[in-house]
Amino acid sequence: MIRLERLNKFYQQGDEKIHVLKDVSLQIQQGEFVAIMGPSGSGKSTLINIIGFLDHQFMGQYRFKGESMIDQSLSDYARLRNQNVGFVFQNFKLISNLSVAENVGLPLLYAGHRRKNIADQVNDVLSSVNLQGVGAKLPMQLSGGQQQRVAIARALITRPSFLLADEPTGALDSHTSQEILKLFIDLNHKSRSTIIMVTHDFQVARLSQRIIRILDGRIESDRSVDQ
Amino acid sequence: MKITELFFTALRSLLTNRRRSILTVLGIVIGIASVITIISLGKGVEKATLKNLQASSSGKQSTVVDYYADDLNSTASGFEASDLALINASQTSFGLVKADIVSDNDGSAESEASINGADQNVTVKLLKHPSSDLEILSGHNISQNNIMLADPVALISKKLATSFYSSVNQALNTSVTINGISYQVIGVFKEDMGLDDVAISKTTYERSNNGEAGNKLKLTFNRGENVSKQTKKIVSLLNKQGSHHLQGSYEHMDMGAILKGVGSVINGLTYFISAIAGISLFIAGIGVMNMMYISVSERTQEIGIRLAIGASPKSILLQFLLEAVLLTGMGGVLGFGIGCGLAWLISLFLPFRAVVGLESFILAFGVSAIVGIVFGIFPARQASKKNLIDILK
Ligand SMILES: Nc1ncnc2c1ncn2[C@@H]1O[C@H](COP(=O)(O)OP(=O)(O)O)[C@@H](O)[C@H]1O
Ligand SMILES: [Mg+2]
Repeated sequence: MIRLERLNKFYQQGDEKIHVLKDVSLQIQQGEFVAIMGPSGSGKSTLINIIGFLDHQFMGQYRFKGESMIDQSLSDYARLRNQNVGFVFQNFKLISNLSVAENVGLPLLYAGHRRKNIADQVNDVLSSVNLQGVGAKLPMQLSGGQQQRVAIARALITRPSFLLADEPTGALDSHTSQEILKLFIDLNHKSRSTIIMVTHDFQVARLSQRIIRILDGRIESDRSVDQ
Repeated sequence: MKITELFFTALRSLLTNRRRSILTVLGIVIGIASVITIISLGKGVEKATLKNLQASSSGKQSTVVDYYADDLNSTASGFEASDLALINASQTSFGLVKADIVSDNDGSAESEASINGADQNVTVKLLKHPSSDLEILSGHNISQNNIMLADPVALISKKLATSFYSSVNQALNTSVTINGISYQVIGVFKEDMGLDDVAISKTTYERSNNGEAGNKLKLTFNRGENVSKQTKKIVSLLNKQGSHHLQGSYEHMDMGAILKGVGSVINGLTYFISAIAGISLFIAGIGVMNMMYISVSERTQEIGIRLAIGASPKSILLQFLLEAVLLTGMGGVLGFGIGCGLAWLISLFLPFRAVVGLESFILAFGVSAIVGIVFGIFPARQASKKNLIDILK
């Protein structure tokens, strides 16, 4: 489904050009649960931003479901994000003045649905992450773990091709982290959801099926986890 | 996103920052309100002027000359047959078609009446329709039939009845003579607050009056005549030679000239106020722009999140542009309402009513929406051009 070939990424910082991703090539199949590991600053976020169509400025080839991402316009990228990717960020990224239900339903509005027709879908996805009855609350009124589950519900609501989680447990305590991870594992097992998760915690990463290690912008290793 | 959903999204954000929105839009409200006020007054005076100059259905125009007696208690009529003769002698030089003496058309006339052999000054109520206001104590009211047939029948007040007859019932079927016509008394009414002594059908009275006497002179002119100038000439002739020029004065209230005066003042004011309103709208527009820039930078995270979950840059641009237009548009509508109210209030003190048209509403809404677009487009573009990667870092 995802196929990167000799991907290179540079950031311009003042006069300097920083080489952040160096000849990254990898493939991810439908239904995989992949963990991306590496020290801070090694390029993990940069990589998944490109995979998730957030960043269109790169060199090399990215094919998604066989189609090249190189010549897509900005609005094509917006549509690709809306239809194919569910994002889960470290700090949840919920809109603070919208209710939980409105946050969760927002991707559907951008997909062209009407506000009044999406209530059932929102309720269903909220109960699938064990958050019944909090739709009317504001994000601030929920605990961190609950907010992250709202974010996961929002990521799931468009039934995307894959979930991208950038250190999803980084802001949570270990108990809550376990709950969130269990949710990801369930989604991968029961719904065959493709999940790509960035983490620097091996205890988290070993719950996945495959670990890709990145060091200084290069893939250092890429192996499946021994069960 | 569907445009209706974008609309709600924009409305939500404005309501979240209610106080800021209201303060920002105040300049728009004031600007639009003042323009609408002056335009409505201008339209009002224009309409009144047109109506004033409007010819009758036959294409002829008419004016009215009033007589005011110096002695306020006098019941003498200012116009008599001799006055008609005086004016008609030079009818063609005045461009007149005809001159008619009309009774005061406010529904009552002062007249001399003869009751039970005695003469008495009475106030006569002239009925165009049967009056249900009169409480009939004895006999019956004047009917529609009586009025249509110009029957010489009268109602008299209880006061008048009892001062000339021994009882109210005694007065029934007697007669009262006004202007040489003898009216049969068919009923007696109770005078509450009314000052009227007698009520008779207006048509009957006019017939008896026969253009002989009255305090109003109606002048009808040929088409295309300068009626205001000619009326003035007739008024000065009357004040020199009229039958009652020594006991009072003949006057013509020239509505046309008054309206023209008011109209030119309002026209002058329109330019002045429009200029002020233009400046006010410009400053308000800059305020809107400033608020939108602040809003865009405060809501950087929100913009990033929306972009990440699939908003296109175009829909972000539209959302912020709609916010600006909605803000100024609501200001425009509010200003329109206030302007209408103000114009109505002011026109209570002027000899015409303000006129508000659909085009005034379109102007108010259109101008304010344009202010929103012009000053909202730059902040909205900034919002849509935000770098997603930088926001989400
Ligand atoms: N927008 C940017 N501009 C310049 N340099 C950046 C930008 N984003 C990231 N970098 C640099 O790129 C490198 C990789 O960053 P990142 O992908 O965020 O690392 P990780 O997620 O693995 O911690 C870092 O050295 C970082 O400083
Ligand atoms: Mg990172």
